[in-house]
Amino acid sequence: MELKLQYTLAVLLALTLVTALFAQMELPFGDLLILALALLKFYGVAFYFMDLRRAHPFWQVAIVVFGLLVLSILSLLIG
Amino acid sequence: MIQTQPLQKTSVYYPPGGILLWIIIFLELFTFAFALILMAINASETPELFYDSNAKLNTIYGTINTVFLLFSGWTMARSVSFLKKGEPLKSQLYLQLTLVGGLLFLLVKGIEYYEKLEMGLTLGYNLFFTYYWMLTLFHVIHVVVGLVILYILGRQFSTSPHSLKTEDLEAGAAFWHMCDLIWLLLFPVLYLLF
Repeated sequence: MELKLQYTLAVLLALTLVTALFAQMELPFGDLLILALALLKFYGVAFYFMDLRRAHPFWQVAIVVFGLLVLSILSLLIG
Repeated sequence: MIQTQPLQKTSVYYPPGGILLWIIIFLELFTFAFALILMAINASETPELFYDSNAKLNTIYGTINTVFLLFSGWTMARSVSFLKKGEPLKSQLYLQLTLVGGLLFLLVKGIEYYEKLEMGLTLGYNLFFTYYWMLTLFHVIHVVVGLVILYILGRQFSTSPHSLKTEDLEAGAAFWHMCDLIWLLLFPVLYLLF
């Protein structure tokens, strides 16, 4: 459990730094990439820090659908 | 004789932190998401304004604040984990570290706000900054409420370390992580896109 939390933090921090680096570069589909990384961090916090992976599938599906829905709409509007 | 059954932790009625808190979490997430979608619609109508205004934000502040919130999310998760394992003193220590992370977030946010006000980039400067101030201030209010909840839980730890219920700390933790989730939506849209 403790180790999983530490790995999660390391991954989330790495994704944050990668996101900041991508934002400085003029990458093709850069906006989509930034939103996709944000979604990964969102799920990381929900499933590991909030321990949603131990919750009923209803809550897991709800948070996954919410994240996908919002980020898809934002991608369509911004991308 | 009435037979009682133990609480099913994987029941739909018992997500970590409690069902009422999760209803609040989803309401908050939908509110912020709706505002961000409205912002993106406005940005697609006036892309130059949003591009120029976005360039006035400091990405480094946003990144540092993301790190502080993720770190405090981790300390909060560890605090809950230690309480579940029956180690209240370690749990208290990580709860205090969470408070420090939250306060550091507010400090950086305060510096950022001060700079923006000095530059005259107030709420009414343009549409982008109206969204910026409304969304970030609304989020800051959540962080302050979260800190008050964690402070109260911390006080309970100090007075009687063994009396704090895991469910209470989990509920406080769920609220705190909600601040994380909201920020993870706000940060890319406000600071990195457009």
